[in-house]
Amino acid sequence: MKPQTKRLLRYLDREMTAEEAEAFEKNLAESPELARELYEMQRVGAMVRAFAAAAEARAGSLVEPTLLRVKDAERKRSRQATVGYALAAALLIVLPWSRHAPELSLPRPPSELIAAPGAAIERLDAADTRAQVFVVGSSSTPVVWLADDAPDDDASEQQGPG
Amino acid sequence: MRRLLFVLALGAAWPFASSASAKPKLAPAPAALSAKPSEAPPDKLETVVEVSVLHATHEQKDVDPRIGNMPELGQGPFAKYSSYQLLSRSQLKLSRGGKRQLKLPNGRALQTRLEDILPDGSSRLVASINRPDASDFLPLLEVKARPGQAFIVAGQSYKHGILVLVFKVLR
Repeated sequence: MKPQTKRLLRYLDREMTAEEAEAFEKNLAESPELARELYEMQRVGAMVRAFAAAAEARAGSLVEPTLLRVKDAERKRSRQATVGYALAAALLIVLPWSRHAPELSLPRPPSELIAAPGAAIERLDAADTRAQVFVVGSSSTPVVWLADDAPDDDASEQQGPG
Repeated sequence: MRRLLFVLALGAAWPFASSASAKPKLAPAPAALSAKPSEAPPDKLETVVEVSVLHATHEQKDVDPRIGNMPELGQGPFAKYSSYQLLSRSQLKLSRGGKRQLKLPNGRALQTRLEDILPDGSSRLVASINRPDASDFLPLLEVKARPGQAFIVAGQSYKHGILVLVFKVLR
């Protein structure tokens, strides 16, 4: 950067002492070239300021809604968390009573609803017939399965519980 | 707000903590184990047993809706059969010591006898199926069942399938 330009910039930025500024203004009055250079610098500076102001105004119109959206999202998240806490608290309050209120308890699978404790096979005497006693699945109903040796027209019939 | 909810949640959880540390309740001792003499048998000296005779086959997939809800039919060896038809359903009223016979589709006879009514209200039943071409009944099984309880005797061959006898004590 030329020393002349440096001085111009210091003048424009008001970095000169009063004495320096007075001497610089004397030079300006005596030198039309320096005065023109100052004018150009002031013009460019004004354009830059105007552009900056326009950019700031435009940025403001873009930034503001974005900031609003961010704030809105934060508010929603906070509300959801509050609802979550409230739900958890409500569940904790309701759960102890649910043990005494069947309508609040979870539904049971149909097999549990049907299957009462099963009967008890106390004695089995199948003589010479093979027999097995078992329960199936979750049912508690005892099953006596007889391996029947009676003739049947279905030769492929399976006789055992498998 | 969150602090308030946290306090509420803690308050709600307290009953669990207190019940966990509480002395467990003792289950009532069964009558048979208690020191007191056993209760007298109930006045009711008869029971009603419902016997449903089902025919299980590998034919088209079809379960007779009259059978009702029997999840057992879809499990274990019963699941091998795709078709279940209700052939008969009988209610046998039995007095203590009394017996009733039921003719089965395979030509045999089922005999059901009420041996006793126990103090807890359950019935001790003896079920027998006579041998092929024989008139005598050998005791097959002895069962203790309360009203609402059931037991199943299955496996006898019959017409490309098997018979499934479902016994249910009604009362």
